[in-house]
Amino acid sequence: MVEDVLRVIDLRAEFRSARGPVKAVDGVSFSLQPGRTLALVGESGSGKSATALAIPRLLPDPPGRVTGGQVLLRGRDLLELDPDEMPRVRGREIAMVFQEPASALNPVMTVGDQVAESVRTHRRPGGPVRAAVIEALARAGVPAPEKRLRQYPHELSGGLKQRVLIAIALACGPSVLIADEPTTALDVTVQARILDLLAYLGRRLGLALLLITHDLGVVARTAERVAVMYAGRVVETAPVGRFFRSPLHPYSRGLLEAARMTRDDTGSFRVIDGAVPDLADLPSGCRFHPRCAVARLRAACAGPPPPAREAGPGHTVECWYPGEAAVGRAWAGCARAPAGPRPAAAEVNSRSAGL
Amino acid sequence: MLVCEDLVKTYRTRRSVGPARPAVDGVSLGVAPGETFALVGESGCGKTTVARMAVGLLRPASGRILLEGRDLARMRGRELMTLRRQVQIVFQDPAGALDPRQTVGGAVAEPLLLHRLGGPSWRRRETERLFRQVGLGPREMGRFPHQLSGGQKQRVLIARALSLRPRYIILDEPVSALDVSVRAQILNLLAAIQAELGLGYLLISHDLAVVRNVASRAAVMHRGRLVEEGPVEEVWSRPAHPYTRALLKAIPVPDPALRPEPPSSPPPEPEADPVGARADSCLYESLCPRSARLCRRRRPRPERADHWVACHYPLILRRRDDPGPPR
Ligand SMILES: Nc1ncnc2c1ncn2[C@@H]1O[C@H](COP(=O)(O)OP(=O)(O)O)[C@@H](O)[C@H]1O
Ligand code: SF4
Ligand code: SF4
Ligand SMILES: [Mg+2]
Repeated sequence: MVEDVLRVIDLRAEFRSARGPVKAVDGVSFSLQPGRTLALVGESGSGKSATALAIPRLLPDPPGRVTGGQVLLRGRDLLELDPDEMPRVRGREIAMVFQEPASALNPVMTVGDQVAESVRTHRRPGGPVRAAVIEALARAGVPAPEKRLRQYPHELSGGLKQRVLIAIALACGPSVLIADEPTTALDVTVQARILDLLAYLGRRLGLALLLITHDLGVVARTAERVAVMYAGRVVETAPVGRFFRSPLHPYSRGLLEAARMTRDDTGSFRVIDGAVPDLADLPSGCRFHPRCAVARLRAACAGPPPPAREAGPGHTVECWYPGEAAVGRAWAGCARAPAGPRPAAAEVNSRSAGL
Repeated sequence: MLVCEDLVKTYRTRRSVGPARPAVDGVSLGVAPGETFALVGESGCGKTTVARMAVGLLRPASGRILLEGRDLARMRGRELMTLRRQVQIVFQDPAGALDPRQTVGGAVAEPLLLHRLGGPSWRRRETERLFRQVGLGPREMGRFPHQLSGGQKQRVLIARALSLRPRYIILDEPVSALDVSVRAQILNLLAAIQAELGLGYLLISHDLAVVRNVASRAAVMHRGRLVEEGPVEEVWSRPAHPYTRALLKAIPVPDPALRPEPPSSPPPEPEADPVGARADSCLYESLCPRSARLCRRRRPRPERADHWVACHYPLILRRRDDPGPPR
């Protein structure tokens, strides 16, 4: 069993808004191991970026605020640390790479100076900076790094900019790398190379990588484990093999069908009805229930929210009826239904009649 | 048919010295009614420039746009207006394409107003009908763009494109700003509308999975030129151009069993445009694993066929009686 570098336990964060608190992160738990990649996947607005920012305490405050939970880095709770200590942690232990390489780089500073800044702040004193800068760029696969030192970001392609950012992030020798949609703004061929680079560096340097993405193709290509986020919560966590073979949460199944562009018997693409809920006004019960086809047959779904339950080795799911197909098999899943709230038969019948 | 013939367009840029490389260089394609023709390629390869020329928003430096056999450039006044209505466009970014101060009902009615079609009450009924057609209720007509989700905004833009009853719609990345679950809803809507009205779609996309699933023919564009064209199934199962194959291989497939071997050294970032590349070389030459001397000296030309490729050394074998490009 590999030891966890980072454990996130029941993390909660919200944004103040005119409509009341937006619970962007509402009880999120997961852990990261060295040399392994966890993909946090979900649609836009599900709280992935808020999670990424809350871990190193970078949520913009106001309007953002961490309201609970623990972020244990080698057992030490970052949320309890004195704010003065955070820059050191962010420098030496946790690094971040964001979606838009263009806006993350300083447009009026040379590439060399930007990497040097990271090398200097986070390096033990001594040692020639220039050599370290060139080494950092070379490690990120930047061709002819000596020639890049005096270039400005606008002179680089999108892929090269992202590599420079990776070089900056890794110059400090972190043990955890959080990459928030690092390839979303890039073309597929460039994306493939950046993903390969991250996979390579992750293994080579023993990085614990949190890869945030909305693309299940990226997950399948890069990660060992996956956590599916929906409306502020992780609704399913599993090893990738298990997940792509047999996802259990109806939302995960819907996402996978959408990604694979599965068609129904009429030839239409399968869809997930409706849209992501308003995080300031969440539905009661299971937060997926207004969109869930299974819920139409199951009154329990509108009752108390389902807790996370073990569904196999390394596999947890937050659903009362995991793995259940929606239509035509209303009772098949009953043996696995929870002991908790259970729909009355009459209710189910009337509901399915209405379908 | 909506036909683009040998379109060329060069943008003048401030920084460039000497003649700039054309953004679009000799692009020909045709969209049949009821058919979806896809133009695929990476950002900046010229797809949107082709789209803008095809709807008449941009004048080509040379080449022709033919609508049902008639050259748009030779038409004037009313005739041109009438013809123009038949080709509409849906732009990529649903948020940016709508005026934040205008109700979405107003946005859909606007083309009717501009073309002076009908009176106010007819336009209102027509707008309602269009909203229904794209799966929106009359309630949404009074809303402003920020009150709608991304998918709803895209529906509004589709309704607007339909308002002038076109025969062809150019869809410029219609689903790439949307989440996957919404993407399927919009693609289903577009398919239903196409089936009902027999529209021809020119689908512009960088998403090869979407293209494979909705288009019948596709052309692959690379740095302003088409490098391969054919029936989607053919091109996807037997790509002939090295660039097409690289694109297809790069798509992340949602199946971990198909994951490529992790690299044992850092994958380097190739330099796409090395100095000294000749204008008459193959533009993929610096990245191509099959590149040879001929590729640097002569631009590969397409051979005319149902599935064609512009490459001196294509990946699939030519027919034996085919002499191939001149050497
Ligand atoms: N700076 C901010 N101020 C107010 N609300 C925000 C801010 N950033 C994000 N949010 C809200 O938090 C929720 C989660 O957003 P985010 O974490 O960005 O999701 P994701 O990364 O999964 O797309 C959304 O409802 C979003 O509108
Ligand atoms: S608990 Fe019910 S509503 Fe929620 S995901 Fe499971 S089946 Fe669907
Ligand atoms: S013409 Fe030559 S360089 Fe160009 S794609 Fe074909 S083989 Fe490669
Ligand atoms: Mg995000």
